[in-house]
Amino acid sequence: MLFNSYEFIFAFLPITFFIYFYLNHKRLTEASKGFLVFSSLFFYSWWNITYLPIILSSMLFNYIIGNSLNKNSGEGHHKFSKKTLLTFGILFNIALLGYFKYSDFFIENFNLAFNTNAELLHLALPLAISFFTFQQISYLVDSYKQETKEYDFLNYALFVTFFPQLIAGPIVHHKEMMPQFAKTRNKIKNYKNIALGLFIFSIGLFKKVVIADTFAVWATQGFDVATTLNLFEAWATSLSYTFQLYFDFSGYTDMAIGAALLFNIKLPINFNSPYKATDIQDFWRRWHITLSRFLKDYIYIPLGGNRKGEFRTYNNLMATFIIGGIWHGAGWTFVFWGFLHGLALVIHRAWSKLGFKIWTWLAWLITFNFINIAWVFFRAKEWDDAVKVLSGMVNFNMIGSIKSLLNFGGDKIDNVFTLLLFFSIFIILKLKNTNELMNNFKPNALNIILMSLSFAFAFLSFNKISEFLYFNF
Amino acid sequence: MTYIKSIQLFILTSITIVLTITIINFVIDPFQQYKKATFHKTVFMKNFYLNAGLIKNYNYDSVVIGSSMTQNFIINDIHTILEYKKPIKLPIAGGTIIEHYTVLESAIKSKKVKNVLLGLDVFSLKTSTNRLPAYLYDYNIFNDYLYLVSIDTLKRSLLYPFLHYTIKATHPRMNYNLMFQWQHNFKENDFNATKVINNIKKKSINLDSQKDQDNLLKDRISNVDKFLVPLVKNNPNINYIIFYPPYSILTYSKMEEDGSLDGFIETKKYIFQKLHKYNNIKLFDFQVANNITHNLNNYKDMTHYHQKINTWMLEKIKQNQFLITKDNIEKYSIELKNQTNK
Repeated sequence: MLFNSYEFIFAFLPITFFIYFYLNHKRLTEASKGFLVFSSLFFYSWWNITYLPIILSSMLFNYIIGNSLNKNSGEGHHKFSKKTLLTFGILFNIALLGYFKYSDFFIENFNLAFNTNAELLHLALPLAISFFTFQQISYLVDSYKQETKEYDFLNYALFVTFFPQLIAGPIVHHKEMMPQFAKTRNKIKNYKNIALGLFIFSIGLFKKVVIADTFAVWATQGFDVATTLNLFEAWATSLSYTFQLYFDFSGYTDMAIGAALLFNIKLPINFNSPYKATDIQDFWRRWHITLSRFLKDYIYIPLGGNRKGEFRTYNNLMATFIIGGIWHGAGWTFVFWGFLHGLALVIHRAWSKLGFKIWTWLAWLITFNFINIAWVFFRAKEWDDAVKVLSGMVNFNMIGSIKSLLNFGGDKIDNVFTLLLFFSIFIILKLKNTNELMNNFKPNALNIILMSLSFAFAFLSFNKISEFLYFNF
Repeated sequence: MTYIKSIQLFILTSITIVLTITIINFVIDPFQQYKKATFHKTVFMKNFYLNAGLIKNYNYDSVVIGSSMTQNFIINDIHTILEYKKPIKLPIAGGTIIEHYTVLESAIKSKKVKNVLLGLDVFSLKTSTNRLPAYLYDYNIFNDYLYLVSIDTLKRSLLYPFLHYTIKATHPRMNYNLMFQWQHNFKENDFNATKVINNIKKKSINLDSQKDQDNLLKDRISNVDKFLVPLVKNNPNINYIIFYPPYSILTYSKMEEDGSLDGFIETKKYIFQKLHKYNNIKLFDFQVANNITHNLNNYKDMTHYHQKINTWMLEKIKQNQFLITKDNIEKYSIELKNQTNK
């Protein structure tokens, strides 16, 4: 079930909300927690129930391993050492993720390298597996370090499945979630949190449904449909995707934060105006913050971080980002995207060591363009598509015009709106981001108008009139 | 203001905005779902959506349907030559059989349809993808919120009342007689052999040559059984005229080259075999009309012919020429195959 669907907004969310607080009101706190886990699993299964056993067994397995890592303080009493147990646990998680996400990628490359013809498995990727795998690996590692308490299973299950963060993050950490689930004060309806939650949810819904989905039309046209692109179209394509991705992902995160707040749970922030970054390190402190946090704490630092000399630091940065790349998707384009970002970070580090400084606006321009170009590899389904878009971006023989964009995929009427959005985007990016709006939230007329308009406009955009591109005469 | 008050106001304001826009959409009704256009003039475009409204609120007794190959039929010609009283054209460019089926089903439910003229492309049989907004073609008012509670509809509600000021009154898009045609988008000299040959690389239609031919034939056959046969069988009071449009000779040569021509001919034979036992159908094959298909000056690309060919077909239908019968089906198949060798 998606947050931007009729069934979520009219059925799932209100029903879950009212039953949860009704049970709490009756002081059935365990039942309310159980109900929330059940609802979350229902939310998860809505799309495809065959994934349910996978998330359940992953959860159970990690809970058991985590608990025995935790209890197992006196070494030697057990058959296995703690380290073996941890390794086993991590390998299990990686194997599960690897099997579902990377089998076909591996087979394809194996076939290519050895000229064999092994059949692809065509496994459907279980929803959210990339997210819950990372969350649980961090839980295992922290249990090994004795940093977890003995959580009860229901709390643990809620930590993994809590529906606002289940499908697209933020990648939450047990340390920030468990205490909130345990707190008694959080079991009473809090109108401040509800108002704020609805506010953030509405803004996020608008970002996703109105802004991102509008840009998606041009991105799809440029990447997947068009065979050649002129200069205008190519830039429109790559920028559209750059904006689409940000507004889609950060909008979805906002909705998650908003929905969680209705239940008095504060999720960590995930985006902080990333396209305002003036260097690449700055970008990664602002983009998908909870992923960067995970990669830093559980890959970069264990690899040695920056403590083992300059050369190792560069290596570690590169390794971390290539892993980050492949986490996003099974394909060489993702690896290459990770490599580009790793490389940029290495260059940035060397550059700062040498003490160079440039104007802020130029730094922003370079950073933004680098990010924009790197996203081309992230989005392209094939290398050829990436090459098509990039070569269009320097195609000075075929410049095209703004007017030609009116016929670039979709209906003229809708393209006029896309064009307007395009020109206003840099103003939008200048505005306060959701976190800043959230921190300053007051229940006043302006905010009510803002949230109502966002919600209504987004809600009215759920069903789109689409253009059917077949052949253009 | 208290937080609880702000929540109430938020809900109230949101509902007011959504309701207002819904009402505007209902009153203007850009795709004419509830009534003929009252606040705007009909511009024949966006037929995926508009067709559904025409079906519900226009008066007709005969339906012309098919892909771009049928878009250029002139309503008056159909009326005078085929003697259909009140014809309407509901074509879908690049339409698949399930889409034509959806349109026809909806029309049959709405009005007493006596005649159907269907231009059948074998290519349209391969998939069962339906891109039409089903909620407009059905008669269930409970899913109309998808149409009414919509910003995209609002854009059109606000634009359509002024749209006709931007188009000349004599433009074919404003003319029922020429509804949905594309002929006017081209100049007369766009229809010439040199241009067709120069543009041969730009395929105008997906010829299905890359696909696995055995599975392709199975898919086509199953779609014939699922959509085409029931239309004829379940509506014995409707006279069907189904024809295969005369693409240029280049099309069949290309198919022969790619190895897809045999499957193409097989499909046509299968259709005849399934349909010829019904009395309410006539099947015409213009793909063997050599004098048309061999003259590339009739075309603007490999497949798309000039409007005058549409009128020519109507005359031939009237005279029962190119009618497929038990006696000539084999002969037609051989002819189509042989002409590619020349």
